[in-house]
Amino acid sequence: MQNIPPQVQAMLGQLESYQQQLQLVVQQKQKVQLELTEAKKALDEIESLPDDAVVYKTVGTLIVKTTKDKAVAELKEKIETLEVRLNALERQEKKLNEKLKELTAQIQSALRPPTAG
Amino acid sequence: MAEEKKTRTLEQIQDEIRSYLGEIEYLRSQVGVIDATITDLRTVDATLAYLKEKGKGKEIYIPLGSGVAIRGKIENPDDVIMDVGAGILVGATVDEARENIEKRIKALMDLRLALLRKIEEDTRKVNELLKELQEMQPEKRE
Repeated sequence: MQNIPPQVQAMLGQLESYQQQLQLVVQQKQKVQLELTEAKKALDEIESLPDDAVVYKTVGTLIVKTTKDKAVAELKEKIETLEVRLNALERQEKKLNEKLKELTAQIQSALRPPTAG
Repeated sequence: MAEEKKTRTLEQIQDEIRSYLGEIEYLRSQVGVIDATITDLRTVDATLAYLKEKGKGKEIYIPLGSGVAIRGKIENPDDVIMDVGAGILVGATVDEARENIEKRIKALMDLRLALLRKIEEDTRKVNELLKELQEMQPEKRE
């Protein structure tokens, strides 16, 4: 590390920071994808029930009675919110990947020995 | 492919072996999680079967979590609710709930089998790599 110029050391620090951010974004994306799959599955399940079916939902540690229509509306809203979040996270992931690629190229170029001539 | 094998260094093969071993360990832990879930589902299934047959009017303690339970009486053993995900639960009969549990067990068993096959495949790859490593080592000594 001693022989690395300070400018490159700073870039390496930045690279590490981007990698950490990317890891965090990927983890959040996986969590949202999981929630989205579960919500879609639940929506399929209750949409297949008769209109007067008894439906409940969890509110904290309690389970309360609701109607099929309300549950469907809430699930649709939840799916919409999750899809917006997923899109935002995908955009963030793409941007971070681009930044990482760019910075890696800069570091490689800075570390390349100068060509004679 | 043969050309690629020749140019791989000892360290690269060792890294690959480590990577496969890590994956095998992770897959085994997932099989453990699936086994625990299946055991849990079978317990619930047995409870439902018992309640349907002998539950009516029975006084029981209903677990609230963290080892705490409350005394209650079963009015209708054929009236249960089941989780369909995303915090939504639907009313069901005992038979419907048991059918749902059977489906979930079957899906988990299929997943378990797929994981076991992947473990087997990875183990075979590790053995191939170990063989490759052994073949490389005498060359290195020469």
